[in-house]
Amino acid sequence: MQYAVLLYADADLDAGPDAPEWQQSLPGHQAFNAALQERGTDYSGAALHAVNAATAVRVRDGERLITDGPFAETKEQLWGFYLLEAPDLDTVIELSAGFWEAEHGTVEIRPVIPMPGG
Amino acid sequence: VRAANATASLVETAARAERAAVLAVIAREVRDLALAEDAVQEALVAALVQWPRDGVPQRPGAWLTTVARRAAIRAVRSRARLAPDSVALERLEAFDAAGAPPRLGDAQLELVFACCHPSLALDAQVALTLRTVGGLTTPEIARAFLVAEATLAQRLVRAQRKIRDSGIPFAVPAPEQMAQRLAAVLGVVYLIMRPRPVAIACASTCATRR
Repeated sequence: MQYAVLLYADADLDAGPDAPEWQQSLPGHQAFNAALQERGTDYSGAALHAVNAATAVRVRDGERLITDGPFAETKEQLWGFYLLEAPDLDTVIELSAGFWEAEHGTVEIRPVIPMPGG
Repeated sequence: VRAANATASLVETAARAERAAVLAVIAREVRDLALAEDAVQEALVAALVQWPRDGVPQRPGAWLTTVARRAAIRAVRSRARLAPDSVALERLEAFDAAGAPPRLGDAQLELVFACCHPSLALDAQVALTLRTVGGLTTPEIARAFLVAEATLAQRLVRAQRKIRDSGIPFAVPAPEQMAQRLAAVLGVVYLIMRPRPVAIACASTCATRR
């Protein structure tokens, strides 16, 4: 099965290598990467710039509305994500429990809908 | 007539006794409770037709498991056209080819852990466990929860779907997770085993808290 692991952290936190939280979260990500490489699992992922870099796109009645910021005011921001293959939910829970984001924010695990022929 | 009645009650007794165990074996292979329930239902219907005619087989559970497994394979295959699930099919066919006797007790324990997985809401855990492990019907559980039958049926369907779609494993948890997971199971068992009025109150409180 394929899973998306979504990492959420405080909306006020800055993201990127200069942020102290970035450094604090690194060991968790290195451990995660090492665990997946050891399993030989296919995976990908990305770290995202903080919400103040976000752009919202909406089309209403054919008109394009471009605004700043995330689509909703939330206490937590999407901070990064992984896409990985795993045999079951418990495996992903186990892998996700080591994240700094799990201790200081929330890690959301979402199963990916399999596409026909995909 | 008496013979027919006797057979009918034999069939019913065997079916009641074996249903939960057969369901557990099929469910862990397909990891899909709704599909497993349909397959077991199909096997029970086949038993109602064949057993009065041919006699109750020596091992009714094994008979029901074989028929239910075939029904499950058919269902997985037809579903595979929409979304391929080669894993479930492989698991089912491997089991079929090996003809290994199912470890009924283990499968039921694994089913309990799946139904009481912490990623399911507590009321869903209780309802699912009552239904799949306890063998209670949806109307019976709805009465215990003091909710409409349709509401409970929908709650069960959603929980079954979550087990399937999130890949909740039918497995006994790893030793380091055991204490926490066992506590969740015991919490559900506690709600189920308490004297009825209390169980009803607890279950409905849990339901309304969400």
